[in-house]
Amino acid sequence: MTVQVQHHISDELLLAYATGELAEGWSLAVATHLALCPSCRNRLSFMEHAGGEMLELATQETTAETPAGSWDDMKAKISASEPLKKPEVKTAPTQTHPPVLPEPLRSYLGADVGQLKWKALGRGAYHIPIKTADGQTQVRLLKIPAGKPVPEHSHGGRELTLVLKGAFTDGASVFKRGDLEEADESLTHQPVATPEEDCICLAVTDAPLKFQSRLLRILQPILGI
Amino acid sequence: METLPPEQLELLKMSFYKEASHSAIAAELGLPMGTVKSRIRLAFAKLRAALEQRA
Repeated sequence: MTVQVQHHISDELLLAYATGELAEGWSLAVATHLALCPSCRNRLSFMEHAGGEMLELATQETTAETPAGSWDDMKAKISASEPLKKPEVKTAPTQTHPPVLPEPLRSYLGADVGQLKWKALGRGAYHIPIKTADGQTQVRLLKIPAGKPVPEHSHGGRELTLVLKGAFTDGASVFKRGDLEEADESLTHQPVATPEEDCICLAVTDAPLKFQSRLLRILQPILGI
Repeated sequence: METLPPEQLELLKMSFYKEASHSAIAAELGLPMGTVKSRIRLAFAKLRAALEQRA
């Protein structure tokens, strides 16, 4: 299956990942997107390269008396070093059923989508909470029935949604397998699964979702969302 | 060849060198988060453009 990823990791999120600053839950979403997206793997390697050069430059500045304006040196070094290789597009070995869940996500769940024990959320939606050790994020796999909306909500903070199967639309944009949606508290959105098939996605939030419906807010602790 | 404006360079240095979180950087520099994010985007856009020109 060819993945044509349209919605990528933002520079600021990728930088936070590259510098090791992201909590486990966010990192899981970023790493799983990277597994599906050669162009973001390329961007990550560029950032790590730039970071390495910057550290080297900082070391030089403290050991030798390099002129302070050595930013140009650094850029020259980045440019002079070997050009970034285009990521090799590896043809996956022919499998009868290529996994829906790439690593590292699959290991967190212990199985691919066919063997998972989904918990009903109501309205035909299902989820599986995913445990992380960071204590700051809420991570889960969501299954939204074809054509149905995720209940409208805004966020206490950031939310990352990575599509793994099917697709959802959110306003004008369509998110398909591999696409990552980054939302923050300023966005009240209404993702709707496209009618062709159920949508499975990885959702990471840093605060319990704030539903606008009072009933859902009351039910939230019971449903575990 | 353009150079990175000092405020963008400063941000990247803080991110890579001090491993400061973006919210910590925003607080230290007294900037809104949106400004920190947009400077990061601008900085990498310039770096990529510089690299592509040389390649």
